[in-house]
Amino acid sequence: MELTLHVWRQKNGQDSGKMVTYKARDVAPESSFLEMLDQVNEDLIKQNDEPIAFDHDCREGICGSCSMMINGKAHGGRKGTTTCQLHMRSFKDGEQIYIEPWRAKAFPVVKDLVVDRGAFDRIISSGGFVSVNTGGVPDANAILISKQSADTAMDAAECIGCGACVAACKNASSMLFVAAKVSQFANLPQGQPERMQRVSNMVEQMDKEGFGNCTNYFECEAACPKQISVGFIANMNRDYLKASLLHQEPVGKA
Amino acid sequence: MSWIVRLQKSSLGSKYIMAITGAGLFVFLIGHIAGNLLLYFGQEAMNAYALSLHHLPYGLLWVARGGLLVFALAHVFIAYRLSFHNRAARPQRYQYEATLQASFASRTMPYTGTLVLLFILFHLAQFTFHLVAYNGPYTDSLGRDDVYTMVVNAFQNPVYSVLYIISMLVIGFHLSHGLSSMWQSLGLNHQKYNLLFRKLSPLAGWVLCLAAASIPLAVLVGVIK
Repeated sequence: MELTLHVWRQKNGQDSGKMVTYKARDVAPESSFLEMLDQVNEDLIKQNDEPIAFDHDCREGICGSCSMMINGKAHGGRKGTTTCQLHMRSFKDGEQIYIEPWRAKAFPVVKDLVVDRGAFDRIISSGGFVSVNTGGVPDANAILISKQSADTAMDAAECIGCGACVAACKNASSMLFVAAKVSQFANLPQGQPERMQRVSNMVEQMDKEGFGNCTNYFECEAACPKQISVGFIANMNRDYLKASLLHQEPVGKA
Repeated sequence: MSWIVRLQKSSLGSKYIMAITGAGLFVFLIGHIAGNLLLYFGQEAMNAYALSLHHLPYGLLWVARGGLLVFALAHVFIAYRLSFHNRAARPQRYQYEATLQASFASRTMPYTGTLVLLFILFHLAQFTFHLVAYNGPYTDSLGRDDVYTMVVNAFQNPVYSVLYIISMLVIGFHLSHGLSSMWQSLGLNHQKYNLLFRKLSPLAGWVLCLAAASIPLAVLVGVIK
């Protein structure tokens, strides 16, 4: 296969950046999208050019590192697929491919296709955890959890934090990510003690990071490589409403 | 009170306000359009209804008008604030733009919303404040405000009837997304009720807007004279 790539090149955060056109030659249809980029980079290195910088780690669709817009679609838009699991057989010989980084104020470009997703880490630090006391190991079945709750929590916990939801949203909103991280605990008994405080803190941090708002047009759900449902956003909306209206500090002494 | 200020400023709080005010405005629209469908029942029915509205007890008319104004202002203000935030959240656009499943209506809410606002201002200027495109005053044989003749006269001019029909379609698009979106914003997403939330609600919006659009069309083709 031979392809024409239009790739966003940007030296660093200060550089204004631009699209640069490259040819990808002798691409095997069974190679992955990242392998195709590796091949282009080898050519660039041989020509003493700077290789295209992109994030990647596990290359098996579970780490959430690889992140790029391919022809305007996060991870290329193939259902339930990360960029590393996208194969070149999904493209036609001679196709023009546009490759851009995630675009969001909260995800500043570090270099080329690499963006800083630290905003997600700060949202997690603000409440995406359960506090567990140290001590003896608790009995495995001391807390009963229905299969349905466990499955729902697991569906939310599938989120790999890649940021495709933000990239696909016209408002660069991170609602699907935050909703998944809120809901994985909201559906488990272990998440109940901090439930109200958690959703308040995480939504507050999300707003502080400069993500946009939800228009409920559900591009995030379609773009999510883990197919996280927007039902979790409704979950978060419900919890945040409850927390805002009803949650109060400890009553204290008169 | 500080928590209320915080809530209305937050991304989710803003969406609750959009949903609640949007639902309120839709309820008004049902009443408004149902009332105006009386045009099909002739001059007597329409004018008597208009008069009865003006003689609601306990100043209810002004309560309704006040509530409507507050809802409309809140809906418009928060909508523009949200749009402003949303634009700021993506300072640099993609060179290649594509969507996977977003509907046309959902992608154009700020634009259809702005068109609806302009239409409402024109509609008020024409039929409430009689500032533009008004050939009145109109009074019927009983000395009442002749709302029937006023509307029919206006719509006999194809410029206004076509403008109104187009505006109703724009409102239809706005409602087709808004009426399903409001449930989600308030956290209402449920396997058993998603048919109502995602299909029946937009359908109700379309039925209402097409019913409203039928009035200028009926005048234009001479069904209402």
